[in-house]
Amino acid sequence: MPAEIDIEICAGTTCFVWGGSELLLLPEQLPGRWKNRVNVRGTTCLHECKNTTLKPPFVRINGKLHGDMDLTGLMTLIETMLEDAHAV
Amino acid sequence: MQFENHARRLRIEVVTRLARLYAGNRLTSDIHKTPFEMIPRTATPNRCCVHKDRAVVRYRVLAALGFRVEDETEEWKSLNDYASEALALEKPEGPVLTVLDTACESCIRTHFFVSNACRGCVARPCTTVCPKKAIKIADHKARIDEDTCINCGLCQKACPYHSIIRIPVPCEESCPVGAIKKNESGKERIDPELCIGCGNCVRNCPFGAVMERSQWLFAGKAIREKRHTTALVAPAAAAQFPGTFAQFKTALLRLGFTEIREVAQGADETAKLETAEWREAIQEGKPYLTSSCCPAFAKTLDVHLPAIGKNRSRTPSPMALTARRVKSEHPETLTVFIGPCIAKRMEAQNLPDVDLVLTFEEIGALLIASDIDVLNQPEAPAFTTEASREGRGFAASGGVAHAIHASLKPEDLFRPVCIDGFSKENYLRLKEISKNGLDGNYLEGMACEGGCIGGPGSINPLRAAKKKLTEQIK
Repeated sequence: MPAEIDIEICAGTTCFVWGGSELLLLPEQLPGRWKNRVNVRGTTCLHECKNTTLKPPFVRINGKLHGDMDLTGLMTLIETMLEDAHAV
Repeated sequence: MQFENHARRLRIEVVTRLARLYAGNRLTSDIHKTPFEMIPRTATPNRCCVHKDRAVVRYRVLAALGFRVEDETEEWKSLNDYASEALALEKPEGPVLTVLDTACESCIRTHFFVSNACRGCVARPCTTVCPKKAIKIADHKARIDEDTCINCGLCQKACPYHSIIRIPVPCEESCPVGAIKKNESGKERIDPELCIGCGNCVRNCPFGAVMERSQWLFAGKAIREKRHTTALVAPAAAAQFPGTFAQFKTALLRLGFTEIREVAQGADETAKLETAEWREAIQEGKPYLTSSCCPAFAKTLDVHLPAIGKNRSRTPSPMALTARRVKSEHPETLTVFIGPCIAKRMEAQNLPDVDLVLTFEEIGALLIASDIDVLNQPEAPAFTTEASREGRGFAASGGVAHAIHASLKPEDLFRPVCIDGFSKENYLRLKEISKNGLDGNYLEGMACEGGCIGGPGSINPLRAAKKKLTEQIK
């Protein structure tokens, strides 16, 4: 079964310098019970830093772009999405 | 404080914006827009209002151009004029850190405070334990008389409800050597004679009110003027950017550096010389030798702990040796050390062979401004002579002692002690060593936890950097 949540973390230089380096620590932060439901991967530059008014670092979750992300914000987003999925 | 926080992001945003303006030839015409672009009138202010936020950004811009905010005399001068002035300079001189007094919140001096968890109990151990009788009970609640209180903290320990809290001044609390203090108006000031450049105050001020005086512009200018420039890349670089060290080298060449040198080669030389110095010191009957490649540690010993300082190694640091070699080959080159360290800027002020010092944050901003993505770069060819694994290992705590150990014989009886960062406990340990001597015969000292890979100008959190360094130097 594919994971419910697919997360791409931009590892382009802009995102990395602006704080994306910490986001790449996400896999070790995920609680064991989420591991099969969340798929995390680092990607090369998503090229969003030039196309949007949002600030780096960027993360794409199930195809949707999120800017100015930090690790706590990302964990909260995942939790909400998993709870919503459960509620349905 | 946590590695990733909004004060850090603000600092990086300012340097990135300025580097982009410079790359687009708009620094002297558009820099005055930066505070407004960063804090538009629709923004939710961090402080009282957007106007104060913009005023703080203005001072962040000054520091990012290399100016010392304390030196400002013409408050009305436009940022465009400041940018022109900066471009006419070779590099900033004087203290390496600056306090943005507009950003400094003048925190109340470190004090103890009775929170509303106080139940006004009958036993009142806080009042009996206080040696100055500074605690009175009023309206069923303990009150501390601040004029009488001597901050001993006994009341805090005695309260069964944990209702007494200690409120520190974060910058003063984080400074291991007491170099940052309040002036008569309550704003913080750094005494450059005492400051060791560790950058703890930069990392720990929750208002981001302490900034380093940046040098990115001067490196950018030399590259643009097509001067011969040599990037002296610290061993810690292997643990910083995404991709490999060889890709990072290509990125620096694309940025416009004429040559790239690995400071780990200088580290190999430092290890060799320091091994010989250690042997000689022990033979001469000295109790121990200390490392000296961490400039914050070296200055601490010289200024604050002279009893340890008399055993300090006089071997030049890897940066000094690498720069000396490069300048002997290319006397005309501009040497730019690239590392995680603010204290290296202080060290460079006494070294004619090191022209500029950039942090990973600053080199990151220059790469962003030139649209150079490290992960997309091909790997650069290897150096003619590659540094050893031990030389590259200088980047982490324990690395210097390990390198010396590796070149000794078993009969040398090397007994190293490592100080991994200037935490409160570690600094107390140093004071104890200063008083009672060292249980060992070599003292390696690193002001940053984890060593250089945990430096204040890093862009990778320590946990990730440790892992990456191990992968890169295996």
